[in-house]
This record gives sequence, C-alpha cells and structure tokens, in this order.
Amino acid sequence: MSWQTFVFDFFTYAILAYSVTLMSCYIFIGIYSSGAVNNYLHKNSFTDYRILAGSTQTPSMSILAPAYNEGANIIENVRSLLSIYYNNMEVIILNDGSKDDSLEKLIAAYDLYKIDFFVNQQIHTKKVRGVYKSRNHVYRKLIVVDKENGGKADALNVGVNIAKNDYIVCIDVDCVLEQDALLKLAKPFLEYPNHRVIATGGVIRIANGCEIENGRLIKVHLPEQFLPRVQTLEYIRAFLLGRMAWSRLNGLLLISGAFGAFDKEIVIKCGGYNHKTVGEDMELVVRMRRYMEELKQPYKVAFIPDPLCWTEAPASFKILGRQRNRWTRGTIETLRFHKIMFFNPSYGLLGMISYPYWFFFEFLAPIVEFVGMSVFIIFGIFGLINWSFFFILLAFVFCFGFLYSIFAVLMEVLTYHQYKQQKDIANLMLTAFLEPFIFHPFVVWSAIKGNIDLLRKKNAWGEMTRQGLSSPKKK
Amino acid sequence: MANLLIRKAIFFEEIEDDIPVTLRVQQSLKQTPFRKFLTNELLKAKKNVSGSAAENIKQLYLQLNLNQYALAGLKNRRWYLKAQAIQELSVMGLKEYLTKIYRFTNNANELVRMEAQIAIVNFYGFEGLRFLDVVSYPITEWQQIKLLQELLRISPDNFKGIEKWLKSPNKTVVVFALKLVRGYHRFELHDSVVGCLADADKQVKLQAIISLGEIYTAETSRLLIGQFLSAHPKHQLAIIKVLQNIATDDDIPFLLQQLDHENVEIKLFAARALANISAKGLESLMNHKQALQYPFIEIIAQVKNELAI
Repeated sequence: MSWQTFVFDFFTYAILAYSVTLMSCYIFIGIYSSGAVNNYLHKNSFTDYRILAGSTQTPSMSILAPAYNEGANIIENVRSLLSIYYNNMEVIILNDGSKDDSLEKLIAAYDLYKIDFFVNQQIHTKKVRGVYKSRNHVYRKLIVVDKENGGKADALNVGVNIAKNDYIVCIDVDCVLEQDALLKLAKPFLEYPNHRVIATGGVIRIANGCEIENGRLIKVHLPEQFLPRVQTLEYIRAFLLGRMAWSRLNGLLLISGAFGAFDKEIVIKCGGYNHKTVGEDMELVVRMRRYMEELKQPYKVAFIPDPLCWTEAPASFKILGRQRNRWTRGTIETLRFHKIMFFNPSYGLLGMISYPYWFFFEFLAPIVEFVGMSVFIIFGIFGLINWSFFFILLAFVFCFGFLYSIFAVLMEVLTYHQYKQQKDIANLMLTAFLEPFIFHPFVVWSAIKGNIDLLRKKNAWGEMTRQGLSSPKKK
Repeated sequence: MANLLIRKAIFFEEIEDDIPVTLRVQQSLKQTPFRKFLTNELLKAKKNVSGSAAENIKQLYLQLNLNQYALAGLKNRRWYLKAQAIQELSVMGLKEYLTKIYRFTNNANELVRMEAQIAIVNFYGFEGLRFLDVVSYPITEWQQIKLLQELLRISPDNFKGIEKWLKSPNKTVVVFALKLVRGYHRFELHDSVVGCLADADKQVKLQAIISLGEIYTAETSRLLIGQFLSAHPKHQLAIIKVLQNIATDDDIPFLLQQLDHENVEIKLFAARALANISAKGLESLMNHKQALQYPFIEIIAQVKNELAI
C-alpha cells in the first residue's frame, strides 16, 4: 500500500464514519423529537393557562432585560414586557451604561424616580449607579437599573442580585414575547415533584417580515429576504427537532440567551453569568448542570416547543458572520471551561452523551467539513476521485439534508402551523433546497473564522446592528 | 351544523321532549372527526353556560349517546384518550360514572390521575378530596394549583380530613394539606402544622412555616424562633419573612441579633421585620451599632423608603 493510498483511505473512511454517525444522530433526533412534541401537545391539550394566570400560587418571576443603546425602541419594548400576562412578576430593565438617552427616555415615559435600594452583591458586578421605580401605580412591576457598562453577562448578574423573585427570566429587550409566554415557561417548574427544574427554555422564532405593533406580534409572515428566511428554517429545525429531542433525553446544554427562565438560587450558587465568555447563555446552563451533577441531585432542564419569543435575525452576511463567529467562540469556550466532563461517567448523560455530541458535532463539524472540502480539492487535483461515486454520494447527502429540513417543516405545519399560506410552505421548501449551496458554506466559513479568532485571542462581542421590528408590514 | 345544533339546544324549552336532531347530524356522528368536533364544541359550551342551558347541553350529549364513546375511551390503552374521556364525563357532570372514574385517581399515568382527581372534586367538592387518603403518587405543584382553583368555586363548610392528610406518608399530600390550611384559615389546626415543622422533608417544613404565618397565635413567633438556629438557611429566611408579619415587641432582641447573621438576605429581612413591628422596632434598628456603616446604611434607607410608600 503506497502512502498516497493510505492517506486517501484514511481520510475517506474517517469522514465516512463521521458522516454516518452524524446522520444517525439526526435520524434519532428527528424520531425522538417528534415523540416529545406529540407528547407535549397531548399534555398541553389538558392545560388551561387561565388557571395559572389567575392563581396566587404561581412561581414568582423576575424578567431581566439588559439594554445597551436601545434608546430608539426602549419605550415600546418595555411596554411590551409590562403587558405580559403574569401576575407574580417584576420587570427589571438593566441599562448597561448606554451612551444614548435610553435612561432619560425611560424616566420621562414611566415617571421614574431614584429609590434607596440595597443591592445584595451575591455575584460580583460593576457598580450600580441607581435603581428607579415609577410613581405611577400602573407601572409598579417596573424596576430600571442604571449601571456602569460591563457587558451583557455583567448586566444580567446585576439583575440576579436585584431580583426579588424565585425565578429569573432572561430576555433580549428587543424580543417580542407572546402574551402567554411566561405562563407557558412557568409550568415546567411546577410539574416535576421528584426533580428540581433548574431552567426552562422556549422556542425562538424569526420576526423579520412579521407585523408588529406597539411591541406586540400582530401577524406572522415568512421573511421575504433570503437570509432571514433560511434562518427561519434553521430555527424551526434546531428548536422543534434538536432541542426537543435533547430535552426529552434531559441532556439539553443550551437555552437561548434571547429567552429562558432559571432557578435563581442555583444561578447564584453557580456564581451567575460568566463574563469571560461570549457564549454566556450556554456556559450558564452547562455550569448549572455540572453543579447539580456534582451535588448528585435529580434535576431537569426543560424545554417547550411553543413559539414564545420572536427575534430579529441578521439580514446581511456581515452581521450574520459576526453572530456565527461569536456562537462558535462561545461554544468552544464553554467546552473548554468544562472539559473535565468529557466522557466522564461521573457526570452521567451530561458527560457521556451531551458534552461529546457538542464536541464532535457542534464544535468539530465545521472543522471536519472544511478540512474535508480542502482534502477533496487536493484529491481532485491529483485525480484520486471516483467521480461517478462522488456524484451519487453528493446526491445522497444533499437529499438527506433536504429531507431533514422538509421533515422539520412538516413538524411545524402539523403542530403550530405559524406560516399558514401555501406559498410560505413552498417558499420554505425552496429555501431548504438552496440552503446547502448558499447559507451553509457561509456558516461553516464563519465558524472557521470563529476558531481562528479564538486562537488569536480576539474576544470581541461583534456589533449586532438591527433594522428594528417596530414598523408594521402592511400587505 | 354543530354550532347550529348547540345553539338550538341552549335555547330549547320543552322539558320532556328530546332536542330535535336532523338526520344529517345523526349520520355524520358515525364519522369520528365530526363526532370529536361536536363533542369538543359541546364541552366548550357546557363550560360557558349555566342553569337550564347547561342542562340542555348535557341532555343533548346523552341523547346523542356521546357518553358511550367516552366510556369506551376509559378503556382505551392510550393515556390521552383515557384522560380526555374522564374530562368529558366530568365537564358533563355525569356523576353516575363516579366509581369508574374514582379508580383512576391513583393511576400510574400522571395526566389520567390528574383528570380523575379534578373530576371527583368537580362532582363532590371538598368531600371529593378523599382520594388524598390513598393516593400514593405525587401531587405535582401544577395539580395542586388546579385543585385549589377547582375548590374556589365551592363553599368550604368546614370540610374534614386535613388532619389526616397532614400526617400522610405522601409528602406532596402534606404540602397540599398545608396549603389548604392557610388558604381556608384553619386556625384549629395550628398544633398539627407545628408538628410538620419536625418533618424531615424540606418542602413540608417550608410550607409549614409559611402556613403558620397565616394561622398564627400568640405562641407562633416563639415557636418559630425556637426552630431558627437549627433550621436550613432557606427555612431561616422563611421564618424571618413570616416574623415580618407576626412578630411583636418581644421579638425585637431576636431580630436585632439576626442583623449580625452571615447571610445578607437575612439581615435585610430582619431589618424589614424590625421596621414593620412598631416604632420601637424601627428605633432599635436605627440605633444599631453599625447603622451608619455598609450594608446597614443602605438597608435602613431601603426599609425606610418602603415604609414611606
């Protein structure tokens, strides 16, 4: 056997084995998640959320919304948060040293005044400049905190220190929440008598193109632009299939920073959000799980498939690239912080399945794909490719990816059916067809850049310019 | 078709006659989707009307033999069909099926069990809570909220059984009983609740502390203070929170002592309790040796601010 043949065979079979394992995981996730969603929907058909809305026994929740230079839409966003159906809650807006007039606008709009407030520094944070409450009883649930700039994680930690309730709900201030989002998010905390539910997440959907008025979602539309549309498909796949399956396994490692609820006591015991990573949302969930595993206490990270939170997706390659670059760095940093759990049986399913899956198929996947593509080009140049076999394999892989997306769309239609027009479904299918040629290579490239940036110790968050969701779209 | 029939039933006035049902409806009933749709619409209507209109809906339901499908559902292997059947019979108020439904109150499936328990309470009010005597599966917090909500519609009339449930080996039953004690202000059970403070289960102990805050006597604060030193930090905080509402001038020395507690949250709540007791409590707080130092200077400012609101 010549060394060329050895190298060729090694790469071919290694990539084949990797791909077969990955595809098997996807098939498992597809089947397993459909069972989880089905079970949830059956269970939910017996749930009357009005009971929770009217009860005094609901878990107390503190919504934490960090805001940095959000002056343009802050009044509307806060109004949207205050209009959520939930009795036992407070809304804490964390002005993270904004350079714009966010605070002044809030003071004027909600008749705020500075109060004497003792901040219990259970988690060390940057200095709090002032805590404000409204003179108007209508806004009694609102607390505005003005603090020195310290980033999202630091702002959330201030919120944890100030929150008086048992559970914290961390959201992006510019997200649009469904009116009953908190009722649905609270329920899992009440359902498991033998497990401590340490966190709950809900489905995030893409709001680009939707009609939004006064911070409320009026009508759902599929985005017209390609990039937000392909992210719509990607989110449906990730949330409805991936996270539901992981939640059913009780192996979920990520609750999106855009919307998730956490047990405050455990968050504090874990030391709060880590400001040394750009993936603070994932890192917190992993740390909380690790803490519970080390305590040997039964716990659960729950996830519900209802679309509860609508967010604006990046509409340009530049912003999308920054976002994916950051996500990659966040994933690697989190995996690095908790490397002790890698195939460590003392961490149970977390150490033996969840962590290795994220390592091999979330962190390594873009690298394997990039290396595979580079090797393929080299092999092509040296004439080592069996082209007829290659095209058959390419068609198979393409069809697999396409069918997986179609399955996700089917699940969406059979469950929540947010996109009611037939042309929207056709559009999603066309998007699924185009995704591997345009979107996927770009995402892989952004992830590679994320790896390189991490090696160069670049740890910037990356500016996320948004177009805004407030202007309603009339059809 | 279904809505028209329901409307006709709601306004039907002939007491002894059957509600007229068209041949088309009778034939359509053989089709499962229509039958399910009609049943759902009838259930929705039954929940939203009362008096003779509700009776008419029930009559129509029985006249169409929909109860037979529900009874078949009780025997179905799929849990959600079983739970749905129980819910249907419960909403329609068909008490004659009590025995069949009662046996599901301790079913292994959580949803079946929950629907059966709600149905029994719906039929028999507080008396229906007798399933708590035997239930061996946990009653989730969610189920407790549902049961308490269901009971809100019924007059309590000094119902019996709580004392027994406070001693149940099923800890979730004890927790639920403690919620009933405080919700219905059962002062006569004060001593039984005090007995729960000795329970090893953390949740039972926490709920007992909270309940004592609602049914307190002159002795309660002394009893809670007696428990304080050996209590878990979570229970210590709960005790201080309860003392905020029930403490008297006699408890001021204990609360002043807690200002030196290592847990800052306990310091804050002790200060709040002192400020809430009386002018004397507030004065002793302000005269505390470290009143002008951090964190007390901020804590006292906050507490005074709260009093002013």
